Amino acid sequence: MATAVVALQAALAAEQAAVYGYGVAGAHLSGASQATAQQYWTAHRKARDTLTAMITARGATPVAALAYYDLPFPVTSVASAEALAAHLEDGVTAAYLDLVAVSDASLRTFGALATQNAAGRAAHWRGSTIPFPGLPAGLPAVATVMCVPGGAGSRWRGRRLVASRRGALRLGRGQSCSPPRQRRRRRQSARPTTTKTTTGHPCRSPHTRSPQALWRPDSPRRGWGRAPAAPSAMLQIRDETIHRPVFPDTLPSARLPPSSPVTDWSHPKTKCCRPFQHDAACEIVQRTSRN
Amino acid sequence: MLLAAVPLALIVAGCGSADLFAGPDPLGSRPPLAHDTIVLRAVIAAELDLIYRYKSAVSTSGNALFPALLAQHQQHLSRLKARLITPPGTQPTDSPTHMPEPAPPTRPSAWLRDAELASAASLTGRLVSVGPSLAQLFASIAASDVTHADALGGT
Repeated sequence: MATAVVALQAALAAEQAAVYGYGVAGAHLSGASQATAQQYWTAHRKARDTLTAMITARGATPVAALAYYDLPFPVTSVASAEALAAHLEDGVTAAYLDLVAVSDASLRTFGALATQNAAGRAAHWRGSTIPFPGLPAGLPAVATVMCVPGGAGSRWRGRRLVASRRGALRLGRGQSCSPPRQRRRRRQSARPTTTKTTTGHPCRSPHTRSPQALWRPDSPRRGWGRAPAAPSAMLQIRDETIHRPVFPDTLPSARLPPSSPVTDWSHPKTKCCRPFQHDAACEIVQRTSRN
Repeated sequence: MLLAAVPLALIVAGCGSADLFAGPDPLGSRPPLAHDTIVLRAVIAAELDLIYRYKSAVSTSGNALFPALLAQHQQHLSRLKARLITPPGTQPTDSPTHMPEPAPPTRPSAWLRDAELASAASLTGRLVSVGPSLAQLFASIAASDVTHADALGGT
């Protein structure tokens, strides 16, 4: 069983990522959607403070938030902002599900209720429900692939993967550490000659990344199991289960962006010093990396 | 020497297998079910109940949401059944232990919403007493039920 403090730290890290991510997403939303985002942002800040207090009460030091987080995909529109919000909530849902695996009954209940809240928010942004929030979709025939930093395909991995809790990186199901040959060629041909602006962003954190345990269907899950290499692809897969809008008045105004492997490498290293506001530095980074 | 001592031990012990071996008597009755198995069976029964309700609502209402939610509940049932190891010679049932009342002709969404919330609360209460893996499955299904209730509340 997971120790309580480890699970609480993971949930705190997920909440910190959500607080940051909502700041980015909120800048691209307006009206009712932005009001909802602000409401959820406040909820995540409160949850972060609650978790910090719980960890401190157990005699541990709460993990600190990162200076900035790699976005899983470019956030440039209302649709991508809402997709980011759903992605963040999925991560929070998974993190709280880890708490359900601890032996402390009160923490289990706390984790279960927090899982329900996060799943509800994710369904709101996604516009649909899923059968197993927080768990990997379906029973995988092969466990989630993890790449060890520095191993084969690390160059590709560094551009394709998203930051998850504790800074760990992981691939989605069915994906290897090396990209498909054709995709690699396309990406190399489209890669700009200068990426210093992206990789040398002043907010970039030298955070050490480490692999996590493999997930098996019969074992308690650990980590952000549904953080794939291409979140847009993941969201597309989930669209198969879309049945009906959950909240018709706040539906995404556009379809989620299609999977775009060619431009995945150029995910912006967003500087988000002012939540819910456009950041000129972020836009400069995106423009530079695409030219 | 040792071989000669074994029959003597059996005679002293009165040849009672339960007296000689510390484990369960293989000739005795079926061992009691583990706690996780009992809880899992109850959860499966509750899921069957929900599925029956949805089928009833689908047959009486044209709401397009119901079949989609029904499909997700059938996924819940499949995943739950995958965790249940049934002894040979027993047949798992595919019908609820007791037939719930049929869907009301008016406001079936509210009827289903109440059932979803009750299911989520029941699962949340049960997950504290089972193993961690099963607890996570219960928590995930409970979260899904809550999102279903939200969706039904908007119809």
